[in-house]
Formats: sequence, C-alpha cells, structure tokens
Amino acid sequence: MSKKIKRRQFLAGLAAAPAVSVAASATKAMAQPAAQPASSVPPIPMTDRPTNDMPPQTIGKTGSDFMVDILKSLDIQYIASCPGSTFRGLHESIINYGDNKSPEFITTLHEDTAAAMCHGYYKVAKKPMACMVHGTVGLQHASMAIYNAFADRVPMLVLSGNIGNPATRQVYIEWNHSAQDQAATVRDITKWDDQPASLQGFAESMVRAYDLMTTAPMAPVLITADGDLQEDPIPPDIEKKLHIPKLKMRSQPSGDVMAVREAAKMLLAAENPVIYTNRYARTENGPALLLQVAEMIGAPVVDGHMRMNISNRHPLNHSQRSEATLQQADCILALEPIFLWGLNNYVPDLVTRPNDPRRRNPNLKLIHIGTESMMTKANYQDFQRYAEADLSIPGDAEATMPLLIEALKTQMSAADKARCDGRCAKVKELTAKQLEQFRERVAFEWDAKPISSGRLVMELWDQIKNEDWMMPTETQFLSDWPYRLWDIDKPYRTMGGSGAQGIGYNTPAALGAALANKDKGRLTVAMVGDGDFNMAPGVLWTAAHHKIPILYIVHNNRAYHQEVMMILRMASRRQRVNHKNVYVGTLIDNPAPDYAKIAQGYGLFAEGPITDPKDLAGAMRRAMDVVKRGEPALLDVVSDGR
Amino acid sequence: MKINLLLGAALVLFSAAAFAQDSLKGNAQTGKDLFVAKGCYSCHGFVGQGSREGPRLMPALPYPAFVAQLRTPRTIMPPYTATLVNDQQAADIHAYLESQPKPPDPKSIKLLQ
Ligand code: HEC
Repeated sequence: MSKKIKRRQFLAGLAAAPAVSVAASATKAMAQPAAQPASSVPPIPMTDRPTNDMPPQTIGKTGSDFMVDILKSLDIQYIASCPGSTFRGLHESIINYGDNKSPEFITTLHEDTAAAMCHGYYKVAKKPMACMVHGTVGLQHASMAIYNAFADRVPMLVLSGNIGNPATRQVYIEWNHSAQDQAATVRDITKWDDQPASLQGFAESMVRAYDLMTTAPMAPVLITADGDLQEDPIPPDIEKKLHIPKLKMRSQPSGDVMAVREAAKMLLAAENPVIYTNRYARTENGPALLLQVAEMIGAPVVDGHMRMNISNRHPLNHSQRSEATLQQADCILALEPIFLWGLNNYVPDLVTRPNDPRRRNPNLKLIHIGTESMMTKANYQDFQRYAEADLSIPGDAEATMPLLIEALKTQMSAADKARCDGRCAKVKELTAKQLEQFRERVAFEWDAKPISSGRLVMELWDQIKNEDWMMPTETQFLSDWPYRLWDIDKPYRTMGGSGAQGIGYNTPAALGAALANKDKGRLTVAMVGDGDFNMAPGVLWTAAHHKIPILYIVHNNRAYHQEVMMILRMASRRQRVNHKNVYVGTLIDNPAPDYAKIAQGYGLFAEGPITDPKDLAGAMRRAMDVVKRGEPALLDVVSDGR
Repeated sequence: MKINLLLGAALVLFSAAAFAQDSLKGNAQTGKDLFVAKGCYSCHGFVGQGSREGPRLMPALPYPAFVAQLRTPRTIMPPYTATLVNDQQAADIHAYLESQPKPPDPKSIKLLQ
C-alpha cells in the first residue's frame, strides 16, 4: 500500500462529524496532548473536529445528501457546473443520492457559461436554476455572468464550495481554492450571501436565499457550502432535528395605493401621455396588463426590449418611432425603465463626451413605477444617472398594474373616456404604414454581400414563422430587424438582453433559455455575434452532450464591430489619416475562425462559412431539421457589420 | 451664436464643395474601396444600405450636401476633414454611391410579403 493511500485513510478517519459540534469537539481535540510532539512553543490545535476512529467508509446520510434534499424541496430542476473538488461531496450526492434528477447536473466547460445559463433559463422558465462553482477560482470565472444577471435583476442560485477549516485542507491547492469570505468576490453583485456553519443553518439560508432572490427586485444569491459540512456524515442526533423551512404563500412588492391613485390622476390630466417599458414584464401576464392601461388612456408604448413587454406589431407599440413619441409626450409613465434620466434628457453619443444634456420637454411630468431604487449598491454604477421624477412609486411595476387599472376605472369620467378613446385611435394610425416602410428599407440590402442583417433575419423568419419559436438573443447588433419585421406575438417570444452588456452573454444564456424551452416544447433560435461566441464556444459541447435543441447562427462580421466604429471616431477626432490602423485590435480575422468546424469538433451539425445570401435558405432548412430532431445545430454566416 | 457660426461654416463648405465638384470627377470603383478603407461601411453598411448606426445613403445626396455632411456632420457621425478624406476621395465615394443599382421592388421578394 502506498504512503499516499495510508495518509488518505488516516485523514478519512479524522473526518468524522460535521463542524456543527464545534464546541464539543474542540474540547475533545485539546484533550489529546499525546498526539502533539513535546515543545516549548504552545501547541497549535490541528483541528477542532473529533479525531475518533471513524472508518474511512461512511454509511448513512451525509451533509451534502441533506443539501440535495433542500435543492429538491426548492424544486431546482438543473444545476450547471464544471466539477471542482471543493464541492465533491455535493456533486456526488446530486448524482447518486439525488439520482441526478431535480436537480440534474448540467456539465459546462466554463463557470461563466454555467452562470449565464442560469440567467437565460430563468427568463424563460420564470423560476431559478442553480450553478455550482469551485471555491475562489470557479467563482471568479462566474463573476461576469453573475454581474450581467444582477444588472438585469434576474435570480440565480450560486453555490460555491469552500474548505472553511484550515486544519482539514489536505493539499496546498485547497488553500488556493478556499477563502475566509468566498462571497467577497461577488458581494457587490448579489442580493444576499451566506457561508453557513451548520446544516440547519444551511437549510434556513438556502430557503431565505430563494425567497430573497425571487422577490423583486430579483438578483443572484450565493451560498457557500463548506467542504466538511458537505462530506461528513450527519450524526443521528443532529439528523433527527434537521428541518427544511417551506416557502408558502408569497407576493411581490407593489406600489403604494395612494401614490398609484395620484398617478392615475396625472395620466388622465395629460394631453399626450406615453408609457415607457423596459424591465417591466415579470410574468407572461405582464403584456396583457400593460395593454389594458395603454388602451384605457390611449397612450403609445415605447419599449426598451429588456423583457417581452408588448408585441411588436401592436398598433400602440411606438418603439420604432421612439424619439418622436418621447418628444411630444407631456406625461410619461415609466415602468421599470432602468434609465429613467434618459426619458427626458438626451445626450448624443459623441466621442468628445459632451456634458450638455438636452431636455426633451421642460414641462414633462414623469411618473416612475419600478424597483430600481430598492436595491442600490455603492460600487458598480449600474444604477444610472439620478433622475428627477414628479411621482416616484417604488414597487414592482407588474404587481402595481392591477391597482393602476382600478384607480383609472374609478377616476375616469365619461368625458375622459371619450377623449382617451379618440386619442387611442389616432395614436394607432401613426404606426399603420410602419411594416411596409421597413420592408422597403430591407429591400435595399437584400442582395448585399457580405450578407446583410436584414436578409439574414428574414431568411430565418421564413423558417420559424409557422413554428412555436423563441428567440433569446439580443438584436441591436442586427439593426433590430426582428423587432421591425417579424411578428413577435406571444408573451414568451423574446427575453431581452444581458443587463450589463458583458460580452459573452448571448451564447450561453441562449442555451439556458433553450433548456427551459425544451421542457416547454418550443423551438429556440439564437443569433449571436462572433465576438460573443468566441467568449464561450464550449457552450456548444454542453448543448450536444445534453441534447438541448437550439439553432445557433453566428452573425459573423469578423470583428469587434462596435469597437471598429469607436476607434474610427477616435481616429477622426484626432485627425489620424491612416484609417487602416483602426483594424488593429478590432478584427477577428487573419485567420478567419471557421465556426462550423469548431462546432463540428464539439459534436454539432454545422455549415459555413455561408457567404452568398442565396445559400441561406437551404442551409437553414437542413439545420432546422436537426434542431427539430432534438439536437443543436450551428450556421456560420459571414455578415455585414450591423 | 454658435449655431450661426456653424451655419456660416457650412455655407462656405457648400460653395467650396460645389467648386470642387466642377473640377473633380469621381471614380466609382475607387470610391467603393474608399468606402471600406475609410470606414464608412461600418455605420452605413457595405452598400450604403444604412443600419442602426447610420442612415441609408441611397439615393445619394447631391454632392454639395454630401460633402457638407462629411466635413461638418449633423450629429454623431465622425467628421471627415480634407485631411482624412480629400476632395478627390469625397468625389470618388460620391460616385460609388451614385453608381449603386436601384433596389429591387419589395413586392418582388417573396420573403417580404
Ligand atoms: C461612426 C458611424 C459613422 C461613420 C464611420 C460614418 N458615418 Fe455617415 N452618418 C452617420 C450618422 C449617425 C449619420 C446621421 C447624421 C449625423 O449623425 O451626422 C450619418 C450621415 C451621413 C450622411 C447623410 C445622409 C443623409 O441622407 O442625411 C452621409 C452622406 C454620410 N453619412 C456619409 C458618410 C461617409 C461617406 C462616410 C465615410 C467617409 C461616413 N458617412 C462614415 C454615421 C457614420
């Protein structure tokens, strides 16, 4: 028998009881002076855990088995993770004790992917999934995706491993992966965290974390699972007393009813009320409630697209003429707007960073209903510029809609109703010709090479328009063509963007969405930029391994195109003549990555690079056949910049 | 005051541009290359179709207005002074935009019905 195994057995013998019995075991450890060599220096206690003769095999329930009970009681369906030794106990419990069901272990190739999948999953499933990250290093990897979700007010349960007790860290690596305070890395970007020291504490913290993260304003939470707590067996006397609290009836925080009545009064007094929505719809009922208000007061809606708030072809949706609509408004009802200041102020995005905001309308009345101010942290500046609202109603906007509808009904006179109905009809007329105009515009780029975004988007539309589709990715880099030309009708067709514009969100978040869509039987189509894709190509392997159907289209402009434009503007400002230099550091070319080959290497059906628009339809049809069979596929489309 | 000054500048440029056009003949093929080399495509699209970042450039503006926009853009477009795009190059780019074929009728495209 090797020395190494002997040492393991010895250490396993030490691993006997969970750290819950700290007080008792500390006494016991100190009562064994014989184990310490004689020294003039006072002995340092090696461990505060009992050093009894526990055999290396443990029989019966372990700490991490109980943790799995908690995950099951919270109905967590999936846990995405790259394995790591700081949570080896929990990993083993999930797959064996928990039978790898609720939660099922989803293997990822990067922690950032695991966390971003949680982000996308929640936005479709409307319930959180979990990710499990290695102590310190895994959490650091996951942190950008956690930040995106934080800025997007999306919950996820992040579980991190840690070996809290220095005396039981076995090899030097475990020191590198342990922290005095794991959550310090992400405390600025989570709603709550805890590092419980007992199993009962763990149960209560998990349920509290779930409660907090799913109550608006929502955000990720982090619970650190201590290594000893996971791995050790549960002493029978402790096991008897363990209790998992239940989440019973809960509600979302709505606005103050008196303030909502005031809002109704202001809206009814307005000549040109406008509704602005951004992170508004929390459930699939959100759009219907919004339309009810919009129709009642005859107000156009301008949407920032961070949730699926309103169908794009509804005649009251004026998002495609947003500037004109906002400019003529005398009262704006802003529902979870994120950037409230921007509704009455305008700063052109100039490279000179001028600081002379223009007010759209000095007499504008601004009503704000939202949770933005209810979870403001100091460090990261995602809270945006301070805005003066005439009426500020902290509360979840969707939860407040029924109160507003009630208040409007009560206050609306017959004359008000006639006025609002008349306005509603006029407002609807303004968007009547929109679709036709956009079709004319897209014709200009129909045959362009590299393939235009308009053509790409419409070829895809032709493939999905008769399916029950869902598109989880951002569209601003595709000149927003889907919002202009598709029929985005159902309240689950889209889900908005990353929250903090951390590139590398779309590819993994789309897979999280696809996982939820798989359970709902919906087809997922994701158009991702090449810059985004390259941040997380390993996502493809997870899609193939877990047979998650999704069509990925790489909108491949062979550049960090946003930065091409930025550097161009910088060079112009400085009068630097050699424009070719702007491509240094901004192109993803020479050699041009072959995304189809990469995807094939990860086990996917893939075609590309597609350079002729005429080849799109055939390639899409072939890829769609694969996706409909329940597998992922990828197409690499060489495209115009935007 | 500031606006007046800008207008004045634009007028001077207008007449300068009109003069330039008399003496300069643009080459569409060179203009096509310049449209990419000078980065115009990045906001306006490779064929000048327009995008979220910049408007459609077809049908091309009359040359004086085109050059005025280049030298003193209305809002967020980066200014291209004569140091960056000289008069001959401006004429070439303009010739390229003018040479663009008319787009197909959207009614003739099946996917746009
Ligand atoms: C960083 C983005 C950007 C780049 C690069 C850029 N433009 Fe523009 N362009 C715009 C925007 C935005 C406008 C709208 C008016 C404005 O902001 O000045 C515009 C307007 C124009 C117009 C006026 C169109 C009209 O119908 O009013 C012309 C002509 C034009 N650009 C030509 C060019 C040419 C030629 C180049 C290259 C030498 C170029 N642009 C480079 C963003 C850009």
